[in-house]
Amino acid sequence: MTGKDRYAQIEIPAQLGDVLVEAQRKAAARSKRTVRLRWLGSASAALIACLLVLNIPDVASALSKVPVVGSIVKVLQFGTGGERTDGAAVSTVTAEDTIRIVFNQEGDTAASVPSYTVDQREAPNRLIFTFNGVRSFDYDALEQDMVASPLVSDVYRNIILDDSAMRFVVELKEGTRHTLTEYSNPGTLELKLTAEGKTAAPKEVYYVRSEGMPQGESLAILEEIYLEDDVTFLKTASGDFAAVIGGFATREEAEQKLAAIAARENYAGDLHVNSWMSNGHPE
Amino acid sequence: MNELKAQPQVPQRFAEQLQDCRNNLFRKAYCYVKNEHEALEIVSEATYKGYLAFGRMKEPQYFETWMTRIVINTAIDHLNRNKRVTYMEDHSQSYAGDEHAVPLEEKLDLYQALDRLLPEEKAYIILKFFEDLRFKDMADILELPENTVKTRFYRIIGKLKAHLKDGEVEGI
Repeated sequence: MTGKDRYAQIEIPAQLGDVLVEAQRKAAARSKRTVRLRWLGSASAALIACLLVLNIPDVASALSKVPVVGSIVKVLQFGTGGERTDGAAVSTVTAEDTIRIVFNQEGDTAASVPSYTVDQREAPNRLIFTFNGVRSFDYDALEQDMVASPLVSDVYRNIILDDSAMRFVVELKEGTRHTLTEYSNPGTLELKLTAEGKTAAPKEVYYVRSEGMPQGESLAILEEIYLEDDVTFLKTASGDFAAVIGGFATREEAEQKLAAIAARENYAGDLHVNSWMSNGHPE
Repeated sequence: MNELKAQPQVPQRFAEQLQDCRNNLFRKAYCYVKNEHEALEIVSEATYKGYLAFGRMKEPQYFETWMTRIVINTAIDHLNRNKRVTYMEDHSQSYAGDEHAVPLEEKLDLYQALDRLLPEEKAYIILKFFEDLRFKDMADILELPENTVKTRFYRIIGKLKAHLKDGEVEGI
């Protein structure tokens, strides 16, 4: 029997149809959530970009010190941007406290940044970058460049169940301010960090969280389960990772949130309430 | 009624087009992992991604080409994640020949030989020998220039032949 015959005789499992219907159902649910979040994110980003450019002179001043690398598309602190691409490659350039993430497409400089989302979170102070439509992401080089910044305390990846997407977390030192600038021609995202010189007093923050576990698909699956709860992933003090929902100013608020989750039919009992200081990490 | 309203909804169009090619997609995924459960996982993940990206597909008539590309990329990522790769050393001597001058199938069980190729190389054997595709069609699926596809294909054939000569391929 030739290879071709054996190929033609590969048995099609009876459950193939059901598996594909289920995959479409999950994608449809994800699609609805993404549209909702994207709308909210775009509206927030547009508002913040306007406020920053119009009302904060030092942003314009800081930008003027950096060589122009393209046309400014927007200035933001969190939100969404970029354009849909497929297979963009990524490299980084670092100069003092400015980190530029540069995108290439098929060997040439990309005209625009791939679709991205940047979330800003506290406890600890961190930025969560998600890029879509990137397959050749030299994450190690990016981490090396980012960690070299004196205002960055840690950089780590989050596993995401989409091989054309990349997510990483940049933890900033206390009192660090940041500005993101998206450029086109060439497509570049620039993270400018500045030390504010003063730090807020640490406070206790409450979260609903999972156990710590090694980086891997188990965490990524938790994202699918708790996506609507705005789950994020934090490195723990011991170097593991935990899914966290919050943070809340009081334990009662966190417990209310956990009770709401626990009331769901499919809840597996894998979360609990925990707290840590805003400048620290979960145990 | 205007034309837009007469169009089927995106989920319905996706489901219909997937229905027509799902068995082919499963066979391709199966060739990568030789395991029903994992092949189902790959096709499921590719369907999830395909559904989310369906609105961006520029030419609906090439749905199967497009989904094949997603399945191939998903399967490669699946194998790389699991690092379950047995591959031959690279005997990358230049190898030139006519498209039809490679009677390799008669000498070698190519279905078995897939296990000895890098994940990135398997598609060339599946598409050329099992699906009987032209280089132009392979180039569309792999999103590469036709000449690049030919060069890589012949290099892979060269590797297989080198092992055939060495008698290292099972069943020879």
